[in-house]
Amino acid sequence: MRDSNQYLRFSLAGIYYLISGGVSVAIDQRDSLEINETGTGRVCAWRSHDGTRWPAYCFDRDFKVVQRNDWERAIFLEAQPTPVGLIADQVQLLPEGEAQVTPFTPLGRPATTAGHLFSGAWVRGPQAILVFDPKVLATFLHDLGA
Amino acid sequence: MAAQPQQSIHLIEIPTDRFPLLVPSATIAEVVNVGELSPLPLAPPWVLGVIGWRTKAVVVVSFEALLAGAITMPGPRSRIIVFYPLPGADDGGFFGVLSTHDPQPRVIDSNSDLVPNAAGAVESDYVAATVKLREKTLLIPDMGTLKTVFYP
Repeated sequence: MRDSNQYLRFSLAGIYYLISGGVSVAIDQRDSLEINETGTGRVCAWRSHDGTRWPAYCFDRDFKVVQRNDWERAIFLEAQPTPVGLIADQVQLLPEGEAQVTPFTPLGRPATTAGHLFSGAWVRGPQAILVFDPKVLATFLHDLGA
Repeated sequence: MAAQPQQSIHLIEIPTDRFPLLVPSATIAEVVNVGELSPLPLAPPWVLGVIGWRTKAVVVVSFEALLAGAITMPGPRSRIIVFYPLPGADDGGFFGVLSTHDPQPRVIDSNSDLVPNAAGAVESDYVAATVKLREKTLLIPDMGTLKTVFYP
């Protein structure tokens, strides 16, 4: 089974990932966000929208929440009560059909209460670029602020 | 009276940083070089990463980490042994095991000196048996336990 939807490719701590292009609510540059200057807490930046603040989280290679300043963009995903964001270094919308994504289920117990973070992979020779499950990722991000 | 044909079992010895593993050849799909291991965030500690293999993403595990929690990273002579999905797993259930160097074929028949390890078994849920082949101690993985851990 193949999925030829359009995907966002982004790098996170030097590793490329994909997420379905249709699930992002907004992609913002760093300049348009309110940065957490205190260096404390889990939120890295906020997006202000109609009187609400959407939190964005920054991760290291192991997906641990970190605070760092050398990032470029945030990708916001639909969640309740407000969208939640993921800090990314480079974001690129791939042309439709470029990424040939096949289903992928990680081994072991799901890493989050909502399930496995990844549901697919784009295999290019010996390299596998993992594809986030958008609902699981949004739930995971949301739970960080709970 | 004709002699009974001798039955033989084809096995593969997989070198690891601890005891080598001994598995049926038929469980192995391919042996590949260690290429680019993509990290799998928030995975169990025995997961080393993911490789692209044919059209699939295959999770690579460290058997040493399953045994003792000590993760072994790939070395210059390391290989990845790609296993077929364990019985009951779906078509996407291929997995890889890191070996420290090339695996070796072994043919076991009634003349082979494969015996239970007299010094005792390695105590682990992931080990079905500890055996001795000539002077070497080898572990036979417990595929049933691996199945419950890999595909819970």
